[in-house]
Amino acid sequence: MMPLLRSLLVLLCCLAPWVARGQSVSVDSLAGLPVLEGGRVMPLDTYARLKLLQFSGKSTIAGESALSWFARLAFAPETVETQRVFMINHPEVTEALGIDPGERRWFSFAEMHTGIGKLHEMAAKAFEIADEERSPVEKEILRVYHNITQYAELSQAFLFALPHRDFAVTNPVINEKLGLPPAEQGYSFLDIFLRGFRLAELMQGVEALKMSELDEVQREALRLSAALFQWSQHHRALPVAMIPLHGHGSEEWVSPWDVLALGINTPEVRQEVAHLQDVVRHYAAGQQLEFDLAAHTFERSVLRRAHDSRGVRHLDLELLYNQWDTFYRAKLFYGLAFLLGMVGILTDWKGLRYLAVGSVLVALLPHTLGIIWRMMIMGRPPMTNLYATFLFVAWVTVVLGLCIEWFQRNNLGTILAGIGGLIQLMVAARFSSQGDTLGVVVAVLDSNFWLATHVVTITIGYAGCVAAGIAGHVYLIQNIFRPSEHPSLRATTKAIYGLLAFGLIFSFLGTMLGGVWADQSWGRFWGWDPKENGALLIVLWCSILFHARLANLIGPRGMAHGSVFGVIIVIFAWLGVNLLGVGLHSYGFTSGLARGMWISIGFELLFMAVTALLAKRTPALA
Amino acid sequence: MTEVLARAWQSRLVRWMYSIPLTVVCLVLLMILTFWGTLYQVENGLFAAQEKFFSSWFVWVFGVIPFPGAKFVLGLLMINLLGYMINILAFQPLRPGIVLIHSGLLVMLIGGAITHYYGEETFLSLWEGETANMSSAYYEWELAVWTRDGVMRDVLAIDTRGLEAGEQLAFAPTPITVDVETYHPNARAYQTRDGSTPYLSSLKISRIEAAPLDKEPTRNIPAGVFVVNAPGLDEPKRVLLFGDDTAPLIIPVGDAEYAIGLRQRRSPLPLAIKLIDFKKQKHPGTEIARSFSSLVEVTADGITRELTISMNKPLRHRGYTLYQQSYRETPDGKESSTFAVTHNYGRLLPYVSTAMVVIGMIVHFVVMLIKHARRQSKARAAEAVS
Repeated sequence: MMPLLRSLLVLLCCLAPWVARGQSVSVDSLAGLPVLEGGRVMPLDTYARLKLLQFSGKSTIAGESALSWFARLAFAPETVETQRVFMINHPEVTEALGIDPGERRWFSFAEMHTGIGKLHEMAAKAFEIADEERSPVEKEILRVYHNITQYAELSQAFLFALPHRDFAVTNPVINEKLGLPPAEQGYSFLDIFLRGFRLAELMQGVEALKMSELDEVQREALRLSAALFQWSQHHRALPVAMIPLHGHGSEEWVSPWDVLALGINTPEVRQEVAHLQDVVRHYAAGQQLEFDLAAHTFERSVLRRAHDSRGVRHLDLELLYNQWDTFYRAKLFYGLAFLLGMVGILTDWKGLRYLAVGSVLVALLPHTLGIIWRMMIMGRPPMTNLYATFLFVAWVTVVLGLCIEWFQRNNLGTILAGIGGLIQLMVAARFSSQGDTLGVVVAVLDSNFWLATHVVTITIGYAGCVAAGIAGHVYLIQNIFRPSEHPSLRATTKAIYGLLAFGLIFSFLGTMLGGVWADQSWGRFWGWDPKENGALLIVLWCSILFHARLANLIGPRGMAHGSVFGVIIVIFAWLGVNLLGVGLHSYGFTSGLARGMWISIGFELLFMAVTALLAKRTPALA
Repeated sequence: MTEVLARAWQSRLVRWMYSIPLTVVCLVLLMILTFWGTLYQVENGLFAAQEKFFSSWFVWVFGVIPFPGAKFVLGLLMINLLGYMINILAFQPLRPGIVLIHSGLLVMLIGGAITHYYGEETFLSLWEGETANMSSAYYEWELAVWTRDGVMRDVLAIDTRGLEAGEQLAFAPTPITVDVETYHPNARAYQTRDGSTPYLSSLKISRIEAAPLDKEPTRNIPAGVFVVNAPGLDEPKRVLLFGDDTAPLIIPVGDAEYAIGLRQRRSPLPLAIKLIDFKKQKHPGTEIARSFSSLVEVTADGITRELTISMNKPLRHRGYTLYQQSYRETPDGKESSTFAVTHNYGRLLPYVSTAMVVIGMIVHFVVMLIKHARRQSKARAAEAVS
């Protein structure tokens, strides 16, 4: 219960009136500030994106970048209060909050404000239930509650730097004694906190006196120190961990509030907190130049002190990665390549084939660059989570498509590369909305050698089978619409064969390397773990197809149907096994995607059934 | 004779045994089993799925209809493969790639069988500073009796699988005999508030109750009431042994003292291992484990050395392998480390077979490529002629 109670406190604090402010400045200079989150150091830009994604499921809000929204939330919270940032997926939750949801799924903090007490109550109840027994609504209540708490925490993360009426100084004697510079806006927590010693001097002997015996100066000093105490009690363990501390050979990152609460007196650290105050103040005052200067000074100071930590080395690269959105660009051109390939195959126009191949190559460039950047940022092989497997499998599928095009020169390869790249990158984009795609890996995966061998080979195997499946689709469609074009059908059959063989070799090798990894790490080569079984299913299915074809139990059309079914097996091995939630490999699954998985399996089955029915009327190719 | 053999080899039934359609049937069955067994794990856990699907000859559907289990299918596949190998080696032109792939698979199946029948998986838990030279089974229990005198212990242990009330167990050459009064493979134990109990029990347990078997077999804790008798005893002792009770019961018989305990089956190791320090690292600012490792002192063959066992970096010695498996820590900072211990004669076979299959695949692929290129050039030549 304690975390929930704490959350409520934070939320209630959030209701306190703000000192009015809010001028907009460009916040680009904040983008590269290092922040520790989820076990790694990331640029503030990524942090802001993750938070916005977490609250709203979107990467921008009302045309505004995540970073700009974040700056407003952190430095001028009242300006985002009416912005609809919270995504609520269950109307029951909104109704419970007393909001009429209508058709909407996004709600603002101001709208949810009144229902916070009720939400807290419901969350407390849901919290008592074991995770696996929670209903979707209860899970949603906890998620929304968690989000709104984090939002409130973020809105208070820089409050120490903002002038507040609690720290208004009306008595000039105090001003003078504390050495406060004149300020029109009033003073902040930090202003008074940094002069705590002088305040304590003013307070000497006060405890022996009654309230009525205090003079005005003492009264104000008492009020200020009471406010200091209250604020430091209320603002504990708040984000954002952006100040590195060194000691005992380890590095820890803490938030500015933590620096104040822990009483850290290192001059550089104190100076950094002061720089942050400048950042916030110049933001509020709309002073672009001063704001940029303060941000850069802070950044330089932090980076100088954290220069030897691995995490800060690739901040610039990660910024570039965020800004370029290479996979989005790749998607556009894969889509174009697919369209050009389709038109090319229908019209037999040679020129289109070159355009299609060119489009695939143009798409492959940012795709490859994105994967390489990810590897450099993480210092790991291309695959560390499900999201990254999609990027990589898409890449291999595209390369296989290009190989097919190289050999056959009939647009099959460009269609394969285009649609394979497009769909898989689209699925990857769905996965990216689940959180940090560059996140740290769990201990069991902490082995670059095995990640590089087992995971890479097995996913290359997936790509082979997926590409064979796409070729299978092409064959089955050709078989219905152009059953008499035997050379083209034969070419597609050949492609299916080659791709399936490729898939089989790599799936087998990947499965066995997985066994070797397991043997090296746990002492068992094979344990019938679900993911092992998934990989085994792919190997078995490919072997069945080859042997059945060899024994003439199936023909080319059977091979094509089989390769389409292979896609279902790959989906099961790739995602379904994680969905089962058992075994060593059940890390990182996301319940929202289960539906998508079932839909795609259903679609493939329907496609197989329809093409089987229609193909009966057409003569099969011998 | 050879002619008879050759004719028998060509007979319909034998031909079917090494035919490709049988391969397809076996692979399809294996696929169904794998899929079914994977889904079964969700409700029933890995262990139950292994027992039901992968370590059994038959899977009984609804308890009555037999469906071939993985043992049956893999056995059949092995025969099929062996027959196929004989056939292609004896009667068909040599195709080195295909031969290598399939003999590799055969080696893999043999390796699997050896591991299944002769492999052993146990574990060893040590607190920092503790030393041991025995590992424990995960879910097999034994009733053990040992003498307390001297540095060396003579331990006599009886496997408790299938142990039933009314059985009498003799622990010769000690004078101890034990009558089983009750035995539950999984039990709950109760104490009274004042600690009184009609039994001899080091935890002062007064009552045990059978509990349903857990789907995770390591969670089953057995308990039993045993009547211990020996010629030197005044009267038979009724002892209550509970699996969670780590301290053995001491029974003095004449001048000697005997200890009796219900414990996870122990296996001796060819080494003694002492945990010096357990270390773990977390990703900064999170509870996600980054890595963990144990600094140990190992004494084997008279030599003592210090080394680190960590995730993905096990200790190997004379066919035994010790892996960093898990750890425990108490609130006061005491740490213990658990190692998985395996002993497997077939350990290297999967490596050999993988190499054979992969090399075979490459050879086959290259041969096919050359054939394809030849066919292409022939076709081109034919085109040029016409």
